[in-house]
Amino acid sequence: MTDAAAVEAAVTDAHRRDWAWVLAATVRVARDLDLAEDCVQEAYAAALRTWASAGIPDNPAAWLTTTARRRAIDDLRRDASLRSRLPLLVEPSGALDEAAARERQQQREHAEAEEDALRAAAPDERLRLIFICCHPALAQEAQVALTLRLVCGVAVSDIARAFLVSEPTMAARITRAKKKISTARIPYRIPSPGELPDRLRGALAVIHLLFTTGHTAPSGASLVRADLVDRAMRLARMLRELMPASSDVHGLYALLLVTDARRATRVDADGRLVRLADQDRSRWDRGALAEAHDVIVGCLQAGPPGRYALQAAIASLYAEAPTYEETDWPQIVALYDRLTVVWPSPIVALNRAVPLAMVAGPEVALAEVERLERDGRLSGYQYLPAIKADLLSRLGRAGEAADAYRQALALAANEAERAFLTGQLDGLLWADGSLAVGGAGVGDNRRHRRDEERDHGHDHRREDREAPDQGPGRHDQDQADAHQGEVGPPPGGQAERAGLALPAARRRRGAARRRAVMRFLRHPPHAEPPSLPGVLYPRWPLPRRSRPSRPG
Amino acid sequence: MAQYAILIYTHDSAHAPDATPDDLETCDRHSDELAASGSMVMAYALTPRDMATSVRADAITDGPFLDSKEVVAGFYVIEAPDLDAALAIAGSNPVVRDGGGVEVRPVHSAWTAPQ
Repeated sequence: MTDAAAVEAAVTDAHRRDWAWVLAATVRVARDLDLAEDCVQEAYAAALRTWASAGIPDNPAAWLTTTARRRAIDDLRRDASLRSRLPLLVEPSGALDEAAARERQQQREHAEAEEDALRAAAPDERLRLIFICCHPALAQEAQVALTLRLVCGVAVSDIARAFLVSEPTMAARITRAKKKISTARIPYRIPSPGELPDRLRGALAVIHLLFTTGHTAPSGASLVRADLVDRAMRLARMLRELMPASSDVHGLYALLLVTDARRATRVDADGRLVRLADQDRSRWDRGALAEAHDVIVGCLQAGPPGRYALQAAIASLYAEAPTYEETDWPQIVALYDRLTVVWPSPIVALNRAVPLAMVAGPEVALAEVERLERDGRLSGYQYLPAIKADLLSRLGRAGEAADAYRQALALAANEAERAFLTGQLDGLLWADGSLAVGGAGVGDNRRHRRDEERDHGHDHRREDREAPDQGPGRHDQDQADAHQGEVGPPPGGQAERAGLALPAARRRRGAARRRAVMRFLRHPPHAEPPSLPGVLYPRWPLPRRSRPSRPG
Repeated sequence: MAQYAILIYTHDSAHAPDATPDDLETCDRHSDELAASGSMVMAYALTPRDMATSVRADAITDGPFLDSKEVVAGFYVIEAPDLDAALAIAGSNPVVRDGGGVEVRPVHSAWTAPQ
């Protein structure tokens, strides 16, 4: 007998670690996602019973796979009509298919040896599973749900909670997606080299969306959502393992690492968002930031950096800055310049205005923001007037700044952001000697500022003058992500305002890392911007009506 | 192999009653290519939107059923091993590069009158 708690821990562990592998290997035999899923579920249930008496096997994944596949084969035998179900299309692929065929013949004999053979070839199977879940013929919300269910093994009820819909709604969404997979014959295979870049972008978008959904939830189902962050990190690691040659995969992983390194400090005890300047940097995960940095440098040196690598590099520079004054603004602007090439989104251009103000002055940045305003694609995007308001106030145009803050307030959907903007507007009027209004959160905001001055000896007015980013900057930008669909790079990026000094050793380390990135920018291995495909990120979830028209 | 219907959506059909061979050249060329590749099962080109009449319970109206920028200009049925292959074939339709698009639908069943 094995200790019940130990068995449960082993099964839970195997569920987290091996679900995707076990299911992917079972799909090949079952040739039906539903059947495979049922069989894998049963195998895990059987593990709880069997391992208690027979002991925990040396290779839990192999045990689970063997059990699940046997069930699938039995099921198919017992009911031959199941075989005539709409078949899941499994594209043959050499060794794997032979192994599966052999197993169908020999069944239980030599099971162990075959499991080893399959185990060796397993990575391909997991990729198939990921790519079928993230197929562009499925709606993105379905892609996300299927990925959580099939690749991560999350229960439907938990997925429903994480996305704030009822369980029947989520179950129907998943069922509909599976039905489309079999009816439209979406193949269970790895995309051809020609399709791969687009398809990979889709899969990365799903992982990023999972992450931001978990990362941006300040309240409510926050526990479930913290789990989403964890799932997204695991998926990113899985993809890195499966597609080590893809720079975009590493870039996304780095971006998630940088963003998640600040997980502990983003929200206060009351669940409110904490401004970057007020976050306790000593609680940031320096190990994660260091790992991210190495991954980023690897990406930058590997070739023309993609969108995620650039976003990660920007976020990393913000996070590495030992003090606000030492933030490497010119390099951040340079990285944004590249980002606007690989990801020509008006939101990227808007975010670039924030560091631009630090390099070229608020006037230049304001001109850029006004150009984007005339462009019209960002109408209704609250951060545009918020950033404009800050630039105007720094130029001493208080009246226009107040108008812009009011405009931003009218667009802000979220209570925390409204409170913040009200505070900004209030502070502006106060400084202007014309304070008339009070509002939710204003008192808090001012008290907070006083505390900050006392604790860190900041000159309040000077800080106001120098802060480039009092719009989204005061809150993490990625707060907007879940609502806006499009992710403003980098998460938390323009928000980064270092208010606290770091110990000298840490500061030196940060400077060394910055230099590593800097060296790349001075001597880029690929000086030319990457050539652009005709359509960039076609499936990136920019709201349809504001999607920019693509030339060509 | 499975059958997929491809519905062509564009501003309007090129197949006007008085269309010249020049007007139809692009369509015909693509149709010939699909026929030559062996993937096309059948194809119908429809006349322009002005020729359309819509029927609802309460009225008969002039024009396409949906008041939209695009109309169904024609449809055809292809055979393909899977959706990815079908999408690749559908994506090669010249209308995709010409401001329109195509919709791909798995065929459930078909019937044609005995000849």
